[in-house]
Amino acid sequence: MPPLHRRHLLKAAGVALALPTLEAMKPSAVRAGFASDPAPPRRMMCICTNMGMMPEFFWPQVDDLDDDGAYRPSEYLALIDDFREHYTVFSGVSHPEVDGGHNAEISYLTAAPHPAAGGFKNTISLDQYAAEWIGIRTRFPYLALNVGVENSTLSWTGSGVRVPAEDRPSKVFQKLFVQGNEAEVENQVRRLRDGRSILDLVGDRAGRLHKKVGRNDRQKLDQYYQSVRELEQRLVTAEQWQRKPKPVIDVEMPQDIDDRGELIGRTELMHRMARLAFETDSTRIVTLSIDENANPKVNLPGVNQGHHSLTHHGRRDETVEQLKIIESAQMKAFGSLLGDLHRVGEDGETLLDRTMVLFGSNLGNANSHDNKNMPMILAGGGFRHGKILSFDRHDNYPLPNLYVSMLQRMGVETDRFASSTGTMRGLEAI
Amino acid sequence: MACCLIASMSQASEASAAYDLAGFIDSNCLDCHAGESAEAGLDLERMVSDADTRFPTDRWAKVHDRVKAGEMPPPDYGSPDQPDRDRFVVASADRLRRADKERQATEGRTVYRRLNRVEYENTLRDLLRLPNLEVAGMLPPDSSAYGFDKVGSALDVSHVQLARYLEAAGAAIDQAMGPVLQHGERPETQVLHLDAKTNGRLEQVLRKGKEAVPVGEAVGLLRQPNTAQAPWWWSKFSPTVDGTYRIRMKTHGFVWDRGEVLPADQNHVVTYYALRQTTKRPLGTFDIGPSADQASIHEFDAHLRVGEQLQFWLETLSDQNRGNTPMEEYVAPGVAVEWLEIEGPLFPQWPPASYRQLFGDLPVQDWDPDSNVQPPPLPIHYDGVGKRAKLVQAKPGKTTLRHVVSRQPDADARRLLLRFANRTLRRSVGGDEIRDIVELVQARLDAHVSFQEAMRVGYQAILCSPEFLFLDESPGQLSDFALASRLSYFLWNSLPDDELRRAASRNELHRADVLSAQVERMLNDPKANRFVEDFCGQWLDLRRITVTQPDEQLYPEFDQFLLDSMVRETRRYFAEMVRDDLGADHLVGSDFLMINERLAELYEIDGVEGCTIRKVDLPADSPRGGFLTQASVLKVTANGTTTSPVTRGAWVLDRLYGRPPLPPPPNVPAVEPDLRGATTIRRQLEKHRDDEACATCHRAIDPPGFALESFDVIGTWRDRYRALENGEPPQVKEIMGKPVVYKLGLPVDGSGVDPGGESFEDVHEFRAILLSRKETLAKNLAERLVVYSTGAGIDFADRDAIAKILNETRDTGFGLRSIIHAVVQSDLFQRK
Repeated sequence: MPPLHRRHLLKAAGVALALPTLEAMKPSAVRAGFASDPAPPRRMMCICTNMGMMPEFFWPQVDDLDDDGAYRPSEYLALIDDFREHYTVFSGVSHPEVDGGHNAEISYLTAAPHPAAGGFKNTISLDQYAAEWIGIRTRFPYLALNVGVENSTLSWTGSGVRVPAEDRPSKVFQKLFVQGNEAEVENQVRRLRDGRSILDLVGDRAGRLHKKVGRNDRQKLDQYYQSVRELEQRLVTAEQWQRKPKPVIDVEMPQDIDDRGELIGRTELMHRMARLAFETDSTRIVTLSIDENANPKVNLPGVNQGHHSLTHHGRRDETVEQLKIIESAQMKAFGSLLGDLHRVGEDGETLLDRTMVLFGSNLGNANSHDNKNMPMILAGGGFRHGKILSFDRHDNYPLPNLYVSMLQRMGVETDRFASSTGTMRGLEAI
Repeated sequence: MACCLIASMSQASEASAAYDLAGFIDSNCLDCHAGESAEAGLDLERMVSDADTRFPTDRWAKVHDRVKAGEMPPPDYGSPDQPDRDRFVVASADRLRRADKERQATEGRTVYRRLNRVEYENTLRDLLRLPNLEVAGMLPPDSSAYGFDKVGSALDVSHVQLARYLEAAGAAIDQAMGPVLQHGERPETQVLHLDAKTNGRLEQVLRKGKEAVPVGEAVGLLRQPNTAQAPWWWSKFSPTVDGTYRIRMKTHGFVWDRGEVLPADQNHVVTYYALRQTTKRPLGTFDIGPSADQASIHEFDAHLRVGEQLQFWLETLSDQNRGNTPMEEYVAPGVAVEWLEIEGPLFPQWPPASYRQLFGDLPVQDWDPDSNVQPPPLPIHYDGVGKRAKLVQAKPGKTTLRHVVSRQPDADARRLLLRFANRTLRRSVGGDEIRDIVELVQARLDAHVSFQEAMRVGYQAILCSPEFLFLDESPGQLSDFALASRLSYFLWNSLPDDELRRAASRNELHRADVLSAQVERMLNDPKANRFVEDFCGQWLDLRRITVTQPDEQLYPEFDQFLLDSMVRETRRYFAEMVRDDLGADHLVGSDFLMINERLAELYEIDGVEGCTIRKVDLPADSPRGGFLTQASVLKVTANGTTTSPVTRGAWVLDRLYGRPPLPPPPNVPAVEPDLRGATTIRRQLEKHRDDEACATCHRAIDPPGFALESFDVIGTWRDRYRALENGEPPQVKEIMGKPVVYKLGLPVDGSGVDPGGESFEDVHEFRAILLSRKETLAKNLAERLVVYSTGAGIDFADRDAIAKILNETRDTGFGLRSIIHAVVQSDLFQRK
């Protein structure tokens, strides 16, 4: 059956639509993979901490490394050594041609080159790409979260538009679990339908303008038209989910932490939201941007300067010590996340086994704003872990290869992502 | 004479057409610029072979420029000789011009240009008469090209954008009709007088004696009050409806001298804020009178919203604890707060103008559940005050639902929608053209949806339509309506007002005299401040002023008041240049400054008191003047701890000269700054001099940066670098109660050699060199204004028009106001 035209779908508006019809709208290549899906759900969580991790404490010394990837843990890795068998550490990886120090944050999940250059346009991020394939299976195709700076996000659409992230756990909780009363649901449905009517109208107007504009202008108009179509589809999906009851859980709505200094508290709260979202299958894709650009003074004993300022330690001992306190706490929080995911069982496996957790930073060295040698860890998800994959620190291995491996593990049929050259060498799925 | 010229021109173009561009490239360039290993990544072999199918004008323009300047091929390459060069330059220029003109004739210079979020917000503010509407934050950030987010090619649309436009339009409409639906009748204006006597907790605080003392009947604050100490009576007020409130506060400064209250020995400054959840909105900054007899009463109108809490910040008091010094031995400055009065809400008319824009004179009535009209939705509003304010949905049964009532809904809908469309779509719109929108509303009216809810959908549709979101421009001469839009989005970041529309509908706007008069009117209108803010925000990077924060230990004197002041300085200076038509030389030098007392302190200038920005004559030996040495510029070109001559130098080349340097080669390791003070950044950059490959570019990049090394990251003049380990302690030991821990380290060397060969000892001499390059500065300024105002980059074929603008303004010394006029009068502005 050929993919349905938008018009057929909308003419049927007002009748409850079953999901398979929507799936029929996707191109055949995608449909085939999801005709029936006995495979277990696979998830992805991508975390970026944008102040980096001091290299001298993150990776083991060269002498502590074996040729086959075994190692004696570094100071930071020692803090999460309990889960050694559940993660792989990478050394000598980065995104090809991604530079610009802090500017590289926006390329963390996209690998788009030269993010600081004039006229830069970002490309699709790993999570959004995955969401295009599997997002439809859950109420929320993805969940973009952030701790720190308001506008921060790791997610970008294919046309280079920032996808906003949620920075209030209470709002995330509300989105995931709080069911509106009947009047509220009806109101929302009405708004969604109004939205669709409006989009239908403006889409038609765009169609009529098409003949009047020149060739270059037409491209922009087409973009507009395309966006109208995409949004219409999303509103239809949203309306269906609106009528389905949200999962009921025995957890209280979290209190937002306003104090920007509570880096660890806020991080852990978002970790918890992510885990709840995975547990209830509200989504299978989560991104978390930990953005300390506002330079808050982190509330940990022994720390008395702004986080960002500390990263420019200029090799001063006292400053390095303070930064170590913060980064160690972050590593421990990451370890706790792994522990929490590990404790949830699912069909004989654990949630950690089915969730790839990517943890790292766009900065390999925050003091010099170097984007090479990014500190990266991949945990869980069904791979053979327990070692360090070391590549050339002077001629880095492309990190996008890891992203390809991750996508494939999720069942996405692709063999490339951004500037990848293949899958991650040395990483084996199990 | 003329015919000979024309004849020789056509001869020249024939000769150019016949000239073998590819041949020149082949003989002179491909040795280095071919294949995968091409120098600087520029593969001319491919470019030449593509030339007949696609002519990448940007690249060819670069090649043309470098050959013309004699920079490429490098002098030591050998060939070509001068006549060869000249022929190539003429022929390629010709070819470029033709390619550009062809494209401009069929497509125009600009690409279909979407409103960016700043333009969108301002448009809605003007359209709905809601000057405080905030919707820009709901829309995703826009991309930019050629330095501005007004360039059509950079402004994309995605489904995220569209979803947000729907939301933003809905929110704006809700705000326009909200107050009337919420209150029905005009809310009563009340006056609230609050002072120390109103709340008995005064005794409690005064008894603690540490941070506040009684000063007559007032509370005398000796340090920045935190929430526990702030005149708590302020939290007793919170607006019940969004609107204008008149705020009055009586306050004066004093000195607490071991138990005695003396008049203040310095000027004190206060800033008022409205706080809701985590957003703090500044409402105004004022000076405080020096004593009880000379107390100041600040009176100002502010727009306040439900759930907001008033706060103030004393800019001139420390927030440090005074430790254990007993009050009898304590000496410190203070600010006494006598009373606060709030009058409001004040509505000049009811229903307010915003409601009328949508519903004219139609009345609002309580909804009757027995009627056949569907219930209006329960409003969502803020509950709680300040940090605790939260959005909640009104409770049914506890809320009076109201709706807009029309006795002839179909006719009223048609009329109101037509009126709205005419304003919003920026041209004349006939009833036929909005039939689909009327039907959209009609269908809902037929289903007995309340009138305002039905109309809401229609208004949203108009505000999300491509005709609204994109500027309507056709290739060739712009129509008067299109010209009106371009003009108002240039100088007001918003849609044309009634007067502009009238001139356009009478087809008079394109006339030089009418256009000139409109530009004058628009520049004199307060809305022109939007242009000043937006243009400076992007051209001078003021939007990025908070991206880095000065290290507290190295720069303890930095505070919010200084940050606000430095931004205001730059905007006011630019505005002054526009107002007085000051020449391009004023970009880098001037005989005056626009400063307040805080900036005067930073710039080491005496005799300036008060927080308002005013014109001050530049002292003879001051290194300040122009944008070049303004604190804001010096801050955005540095980070929180260190300066870099490369960053600053590149910025000067790009933003002032319009000649951005090439990006660094890949794999150049970053410089790790040394804050111990063991070496200076200048020494670390010596490689630039020693290595010829580096020197080709850094010869031009570093010198401006070296001259500006005399200024630190917050713009203070320095003879020595501040460091945290090596150095001598400075004379000042304490700033605002905080001990000074930085040391004065190695000396600063602000000398350098300009690529033209001239050497300079310091920024004074460097400035003299810049001032001799007035035309370069003017050309860059004109180009930027063209990009900003037309929404497209400068093509090769546009260079002649730019030259014309410069010629027309040369006798005013390239005055900024004159340049703006010349831009508007040029073909670049009047054609797509």
